[in-house]
Parts: sequence; C-alpha cells; structure tokens
Amino acid sequence: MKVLIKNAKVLQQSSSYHGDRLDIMVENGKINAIDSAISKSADHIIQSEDTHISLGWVDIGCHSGQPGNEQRETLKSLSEAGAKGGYTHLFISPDTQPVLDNRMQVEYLQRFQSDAAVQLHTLGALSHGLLGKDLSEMLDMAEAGCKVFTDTNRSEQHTNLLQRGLEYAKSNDLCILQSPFDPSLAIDGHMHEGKQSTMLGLPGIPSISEHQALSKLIDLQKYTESKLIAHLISCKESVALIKKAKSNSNKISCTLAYQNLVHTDKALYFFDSNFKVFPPLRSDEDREELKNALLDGTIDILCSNHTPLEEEKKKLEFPYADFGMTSLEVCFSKTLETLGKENLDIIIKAISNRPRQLMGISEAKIEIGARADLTIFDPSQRWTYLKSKSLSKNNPYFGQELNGSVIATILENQININ
Amino acid sequence: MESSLSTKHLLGIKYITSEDIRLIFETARQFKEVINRPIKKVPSLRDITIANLFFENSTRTKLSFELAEKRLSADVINFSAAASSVKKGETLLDTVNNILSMKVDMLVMRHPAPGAPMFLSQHIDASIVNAGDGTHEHPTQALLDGYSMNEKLGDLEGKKILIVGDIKHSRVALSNIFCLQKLGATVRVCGPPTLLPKHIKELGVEVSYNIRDSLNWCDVANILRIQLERQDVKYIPSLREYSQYFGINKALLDSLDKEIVIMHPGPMNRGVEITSDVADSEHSIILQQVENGVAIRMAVLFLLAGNRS
Repeated sequence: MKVLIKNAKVLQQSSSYHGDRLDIMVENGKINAIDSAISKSADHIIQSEDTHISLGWVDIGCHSGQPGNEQRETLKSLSEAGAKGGYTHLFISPDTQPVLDNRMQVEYLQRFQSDAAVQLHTLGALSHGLLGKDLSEMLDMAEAGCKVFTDTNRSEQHTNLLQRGLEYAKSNDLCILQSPFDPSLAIDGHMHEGKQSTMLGLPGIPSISEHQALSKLIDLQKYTESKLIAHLISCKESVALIKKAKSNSNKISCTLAYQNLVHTDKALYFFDSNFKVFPPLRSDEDREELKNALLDGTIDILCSNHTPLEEEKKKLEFPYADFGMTSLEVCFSKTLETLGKENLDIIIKAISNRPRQLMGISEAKIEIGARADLTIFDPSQRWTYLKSKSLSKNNPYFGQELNGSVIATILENQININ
Repeated sequence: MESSLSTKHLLGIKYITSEDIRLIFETARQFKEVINRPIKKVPSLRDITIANLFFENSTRTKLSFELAEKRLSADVINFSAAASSVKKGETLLDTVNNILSMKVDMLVMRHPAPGAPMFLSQHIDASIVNAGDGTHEHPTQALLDGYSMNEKLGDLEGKKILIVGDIKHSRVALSNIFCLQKLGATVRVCGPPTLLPKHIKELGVEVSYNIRDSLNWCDVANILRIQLERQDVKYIPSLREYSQYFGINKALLDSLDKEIVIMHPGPMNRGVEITSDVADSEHSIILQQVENGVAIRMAVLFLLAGNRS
C-alpha cells in the first residue's frame, strides 16, 4: 500500500527536515521517499491546507473498559478513539478488572489487534491487584514488553511498597510512574479545595494532598536512585517540587493532564459532572504555573487522562458522579486552543517526542527507510465534535467547534484517515 | 423595583440578584400581613400542584413550606425518601420524572447532595425550590434570616452580622453569607478553626476564633447548630469544650458593651451552642424567624409560579 502525504511541514526537532514543507511517500510500512515534490501515484493521497507531520503521538495512562467494563470502552473503541485523536501508541492504565498485574495480562493486550493504526502497551500494576501490598512479577512482565509500572494514585498510603517497587525496578532499568495523592488529606473530596469549592459547599481535594505525596515520592526516588515519572501533577506547589528535583536528578520526569492545562475549577460553578475529573481542575494560579512549566520543559509529557464512563456513572448528583472525562479525541485540539499555534513545537514534543523517549518506544524517525509511525494534522483547520469513537460520552465538548484537526495516522502498514 | 424574579428556580442565593432578594422581601411583607388576618388563605396558587420532596429529614422547613403552599391554595403532595423507591436503587432523575408525570408544576426539594437541585434543573422543566442541598445552600433560610434582620434593624447596608459555629458543614452559613453580602452587610464568621472552611476568607468575610471579641463587634449574631451528623471525623474534641469556648450564654451577653440580636436557624442544641436563658431572652428573635419563614416561602413560591414557562 502506498500513501502520499503532500506538502507537509515536518515537526521533528532531531530531523534534518525539521521545519521544511515536503512530500512524503510511505510504502509497505516504511518511508521510502521524502522530496519537495513527489508526483508518483498512491493508494491514498493525504493533504490539507496547512498539513503538518510528526512522529506518531503517544498517550500515557488512558483508561480502558476492557477487560471488565466493556460497556464503557473496548480495546477496539479505545484504539479507534486514540487513532482519531492522532495517537499511534496508547499506554493503558492497569486499573482494569482484572488488574493488569501479570504476564498473561500483558500478552492479552498485545494479542489484541484492531484495524486502527494504534499500538497498545500495558502500564503494569506495581503491586498485585493494585492493593499496595505485594510486588507484581515485574521482571516477567518486562520480558513480555512492559517497561513502566504504576499503582496509579492508590499506593501513596503504602510507602514501603513504593520503596520496594522503585528498588526492584532498577534491576532491569524499569521505570515507575506514580500519581502523587494522599487520600487521607482529601476525605470525601469532590473538587479542588479553594474559593470555588467553598462557594459550592463541596468537600475539597486540597493541593497538599498531592504535593505532600509528591514530596515523599521524590524523597523515595532520591533514596533508591530509580527512574520515576510523577504522573498527572496539577498544582503549582508540585511544579516547584519537580523543578527542584530535576535540578538534582535526571531520572525524574512528570506528566500533566490536558484538562488541568485547559480548565480551572470555575468550570464547576453549575455542578457539571463532566468536569469532575481526577486530578481535580485547580485554580487559575495553578493553571498558569502548569502552563509555564509545560512551556519551559519542566513538564515533560501531556496526557489525555482519558477516562470513559457510562451515563449511569455520570448523569447523577455531583457528589455521586465518578471522576473522569473521555478525551483522546480532543486532547490535541483543546491544548492547541490554549497554547496557540506558536507553541506547536512544544505541544508535539510533549505528546510525541518526550513520551517516546521516556516510555522506551522503539525508535522512529522521519527519514527515508524508517518505519512509518506518523501523525498528520492541520493546526489551522477547524472541526466540529459531533461523534465519538469512544463508547462513552462523558465529556463537555460535544457540538463545539474545535481548533486543529487530526487528518491521519500511519503505523507501519496500518493507516487511519479521519 | 422589578415585578418578577430573574430566575425560574431558586437553587441558591448565589444564583439570584439583590433585586430578586428585595422583591422577595417586599412580597413576603404583603404575605405576612395576609397570614396575620383571620382568613389566612389566598387563592394565588389555585390549580398549581407542588411536590415536597424530602430526601433528608426535616421538621420545620417541611412544615413551613407545606403551610406556605396551603396558604396559597396550592395542591400539595409530600414525599419522603424513607418511604420511597430511592431505597430500591432508583435514580433521583427517575424518581422526579415519575412524580412530574403526575402533572406536578413545582418542586420543593431537600437532598443530601450539594448541587442536586441544580442537577435536576438541568434535566426537567418544573420550577425547583432548593430546601437545602447537603452542605451547599439553604436559600429560603437565608432569605428569612435576612428578612428578619431587616425587620429588626432596617436596611442592612453596613450592618455587622456574625455567624457562629460549624461553618464548614453549614448550608445556612453559606446562603446567609451570599444573601447578607448582596444586601450590603459585613459578615464575620467565628468558630473553632477546624469548623471553618480554609478558604472562607476568599468569599469576602471576616474570620475570627474569638467569640467575645466577635460578639462585641456585631449587630446580630446568628448561632448555628453543631452538625454532628455531617461530621465523619471529629472536628472538635467534645461538645463540652465547644460549649465552653464558643457557646453563647447569658453571662457572656451581659458582659458585652452593647445589646445584640440573637438568631438561630434551629433546631437548637440547648446547652451546647446556645443556652436557654439566651434562646428565650428578649434579645432572641428565633420564633419571629420561624413565623417569617412561612411568609418568605409564600413569596418565593408565588413569584416562581409567575415565572413558569
């Protein structure tokens, strides 16, 4: 199969083509020609007014319904939503039912193949059953291809488990990804603790429940000297902690959910449960700090924090609704809307280059002969979000006109054209 | 003055304007006259059916609403969660839609979840009056409190109002703050720090931990009940200690440099936040608050009925 991408601006800083507008031919899963004008015939010709091309995008920690909650999301619908959103790699959070905590589960996910041009990866559970007690068989899972382990946001109570996990991970250069959160400081919390939560009479999730846990996480990293990704930081104090930790160690990195970049807790003024997400939407000040930290590179990776939930879990009185929003399809557009086209390079770095490096995805390039792992998009094209590939509909953007559209993704022989 | 409200529902004081509040007060003044006549009933809401949905216990608020509805000649049905299908797992939306299918025009709802009336208003057509939603708002209580203060002190512009007690778990405090600020009063909250929301200052209120100092500062003290049932963890060591350091007793009032008005939204824990010799004293307008409650609720229901689409 031949795919010809016309007049695309290349965004890959390590490539000699970076910033150039070129035609690119992909044949049999490989880039076989890059030129200012290719006039050969192809099965698919991809072009738009302002076509851009980068290495395929990567999302970390998106939630799947399958196994266990297939009514929310199957691996197929997740892959399709991911492809629509521009992703070629999805790292799935282990909090499925059963938990992704053994080799069999890793292989189960690997066996799954959809038509979408998306490769699924497992984030392994750090502890057996995500119970924070016994380490899962990390080396066995690593041999099956799982390189990053997490207890999501659950194991802050289990300091000892985290310490063991970080230490054990060193034997195979594995990485621990952990969301800092101490639930004992956020009892019954439903949203960021601040002026807005006070006005709404809702118990808060104070920033200290995050940065106090992050501080501990950083201390443990320092003690064990292991690789750590602090996942989904959301407050300004966490930004300061990460900045300081990074000046002392090159083994620490961190991620941000785009919701925390785009929205603040003011979105909850009318108790719209679509905006009930975790980590919670925080204050204007926090958002501003997060934005600066993404722009200056303190924050490495931007995540969708895609959390599909069926209507029965969301269309409820606010305190009874679950946390989460479906977001794979809109993450790029909403981010672009917030940061502007002038920061496109930084956005691509945060959703493609940095996660590729940190998650150990086998190397891809935009060079002749390289295997195709590409996202083609148009940052100037507007589109209306009417339908979702996800089985769940829990987000507030339906019907909105959004900025920046994904045109296609190519992963070797698979192609997805929106 | 406007002749109609800016809203179809009363979901919280923060969602209405100060003109709305003044219109409700003016209307309540007229209804208060009515209910003090020998014939207390008016035909204003004839042919309107109101459902009182109480998903949480209530005595005075429920009675007060029911009385207001009956004085306005509305048809009234009552629903309480204890005897309902809620226990069988029905969602709020299903429960309410079933009731509305029986051609109900307005809803008065008390619910334990903050925002529950707002949630409903986004999915149904009927007018909704929030009769207390968890720790969020209790707008009619704030309106009757504001009205009672207004009756006693005249215009509240520049008046100093103290709210004492468990601010953290109190929908009354929150609605009172919004209402009094919209009427131009200065509000201070006082209580043990663990019972004050950390960010309460950001609402523009003063904060104090000193009860004597605060009583000396204020024109009115609105004393809240300690809401032990809403505390999963203990925020104060004991009721005895609370009473000793934050309770209002006669000796404390007598030692002030001035006379102040004492209010309480009820139900009172006599001997805890307030002693009987204060609650029953000439400083207290607690029973006037209850009387005004009916007039305020008549006004709210009457005005909202006029705004139905």
